[in-house]
Parts: sequence; structure tokens; C-alpha cells
Amino acid sequence: MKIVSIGSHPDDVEIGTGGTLAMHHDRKNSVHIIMCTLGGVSGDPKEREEEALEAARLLGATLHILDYPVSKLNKPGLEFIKIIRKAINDIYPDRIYTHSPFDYHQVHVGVSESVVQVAKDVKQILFYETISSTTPEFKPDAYVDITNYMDLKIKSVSAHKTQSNRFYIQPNVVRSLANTRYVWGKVGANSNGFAEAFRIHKFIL
Amino acid sequence: MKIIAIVGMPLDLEIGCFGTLYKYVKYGHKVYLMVVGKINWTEKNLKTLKKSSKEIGVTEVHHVERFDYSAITQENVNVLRSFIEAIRPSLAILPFIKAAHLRQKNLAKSSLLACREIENILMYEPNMNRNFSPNVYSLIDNEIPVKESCIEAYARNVSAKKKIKKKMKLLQSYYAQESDLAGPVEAFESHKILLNNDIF
Repeated sequence: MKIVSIGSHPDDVEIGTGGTLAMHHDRKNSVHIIMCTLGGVSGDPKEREEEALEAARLLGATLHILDYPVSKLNKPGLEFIKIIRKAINDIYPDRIYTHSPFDYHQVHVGVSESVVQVAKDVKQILFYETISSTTPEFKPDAYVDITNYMDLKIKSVSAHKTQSNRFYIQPNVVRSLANTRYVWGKVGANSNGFAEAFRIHKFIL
Repeated sequence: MKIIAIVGMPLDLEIGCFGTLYKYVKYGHKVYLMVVGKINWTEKNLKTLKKSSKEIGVTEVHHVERFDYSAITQENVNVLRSFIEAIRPSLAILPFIKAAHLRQKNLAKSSLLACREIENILMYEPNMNRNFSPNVYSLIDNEIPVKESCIEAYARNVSAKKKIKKKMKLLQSYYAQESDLAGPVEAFESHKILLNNDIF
């Protein structure tokens, strides 16, 4: 099974799907990360690239960097559509995880809409949440129990050292959301359980 | 894996998800049906469902007669839960929670309460319902002949057969368009699924 997780900025994918990607790697699935931009205002692109590579290595994923200008992603046009379509078609995934349209960040929404538009032939598309910008309209209807992968998720998120002052990548914040998702989603009966939550766009059984 | 499907009205299950259930049986899963209520389930209707269930390889059809459709009560929930706890399924397929009919809605809500600890819950809707927003789809092209014959078994005459088949085909092609799939499709709204499960 081929899995791809798509994020706008470095660290989005680890925040939303770090545990899930680790689970897929454990299951011997082929795991890919598509990173649309290297950021710009949030740190030196070279440094952020190295951090993203380290995070992907921890999760057992192959990293594909599109390095699209972040300013253009505020309103992605045909040029970006072509690039993201090619990136997805080259991998030919069975399942895509991507940003949700229920997000305050215009770049996240733009990437989410572009992916949905070009990935019509992909059997399964699920939206993930990014703790910093997901809106309350995000109502999960799919979960992954990441209890066994929580430490790895924290490591992969923390690999983004240039972002270490951001509140939403602090280990206690990441753990807190994951524990809430586990309990709220009735994923299991372990009070120390952790889960990642998703909203299904399309899921072919 | 064990799967339970709950139904309150004759034909709902056959139209809504019989193709998918048949597919799961063929994959080696065990499917259980819980038939709820008394009024709609005449001896003939129950016999027809049992015969169809046998045809697709359902493990057991359990009939719950003692169910008060007028309200959501703890007693209702307990009655449903007792069978669910005996089976311990991994997937529950329930009637859609925002069904138009009050009786159906009460069954759906009671079922959801009874099944809330189950890892995976999908909802089916055998009617056109604008509240229903499916996001899980199942291509049933190989299961269609059996599904059709199970549905036809209920019809009293040729015109009734035509009417039911028309309804079924309309739903299937609508969901095929929505899911970008070529062929007849059954659709579900996910209440929750656990992606760790091998079936997903």
C-alpha cells in the first residue's frame, strides 16, 4: 500500500500525521511526504529542509520537496495544480492525508482544495488537523491509535528545531491533543492512549 | 472480523448495504443481522429476509421484538446492547441517524447508543435524504445480481419489482457519480472508523 501525506509547510505533516505515518511504516507500507514549500518567513529554507529530512527519516518516509514559493500558495493557481498533480501521479498512492478545508490558514486551505481537485482517482483521501490553525468545524470521523508511536511523533515534530519556540509543537501540547482525540473518539479504554484524528473526504472500501 | 448490521424496516438493509455485506462475507468476515421491531416484520417479511441472508452467507439473523419505537429509552438500548455484547463486533452498520421518519430516527439513535464502544461505525440510508453526506463507498459490481434477487424477493408483483429496482438503481448511480467510481456503488456516512484495523 502506498501512502502520501501532503503538507504546506515543513512540520505540518508531522503535527497532523506523524504517528499515523510511523504506523504505516511499521506495516511495511510505502510512505511518502510531499512538502509544498520550505516556508520563508519562519526560518532559513536550507535549515528547514534539513529538519524536514530528519523528521522524514525518523518516520521512515521518503520526502518530496516541491519548494513552491509560499507567497504564491496564498491563492494557488493552475501552475501549482500542475505541480501537485505531477507529484501525486508520480507516487500513485492508495491513500492521501492532506490539510483540511476547515482551517484558518489560507495556504492550508489552498493546498487542501488543490489536492482534492487533482486526486480524483485516488481511492482514499483524509483530512488531518494542524493544532495551530484547524477550526472548530473540523469534525473527525476516522482515527488512528498512535499510542505505540507517540514518542516517535514527538521526536519527528521536535526535529523542526527552528520552530521550537512555537507553543503548538511543545510535547505537552501535542500529547494533550492526541490524548483528547483518543478519549473523545472512543478509540480505546487506555487513559494514557493517544490518537490522531481525521475527517474523511472519500474512502473506497 | 465480526460485523453487525441493524435494520428496522423490510428492504432497507437490502437496498442500503446488502452488496457490501455480501462482499464482506466473501472476504471471510462474519456478518450478523439484528432485525428490530414487530409491526413491519410479518412472518412473510422475516422469512424473506432470512432466506436472502442465507443466500449471502450471513452467520445469524437475530430478531428483537421488544422495542419501543416511540422513544429512545434505556430499556431499548439495553435490549440492543445485550445481543451486541454477545457478538462483540468490530464494525457496526447502522441506520442513518438523521433519518426523515421519527421511528427510524429513534432506532438509529438507540442503535448508536448501544454501539458507541464499537471501534468502527458506518451508517446507511436506503432513501434519498438531503441530510445524508456519505464519504465511504463500496463498489458492488460483482454482488449486484445477488443483491437484486434478494430485493425482488419482497415484491408482490411486476410493477412493485420495477419500482424497487428503479429506486435502487437511482441511489447506486447517484453514489457512483459522487465517488467517481464506475459501476454500482453503496454509500455510507462514517460515524467513526479506526484506521489501524486491517479491513481499512
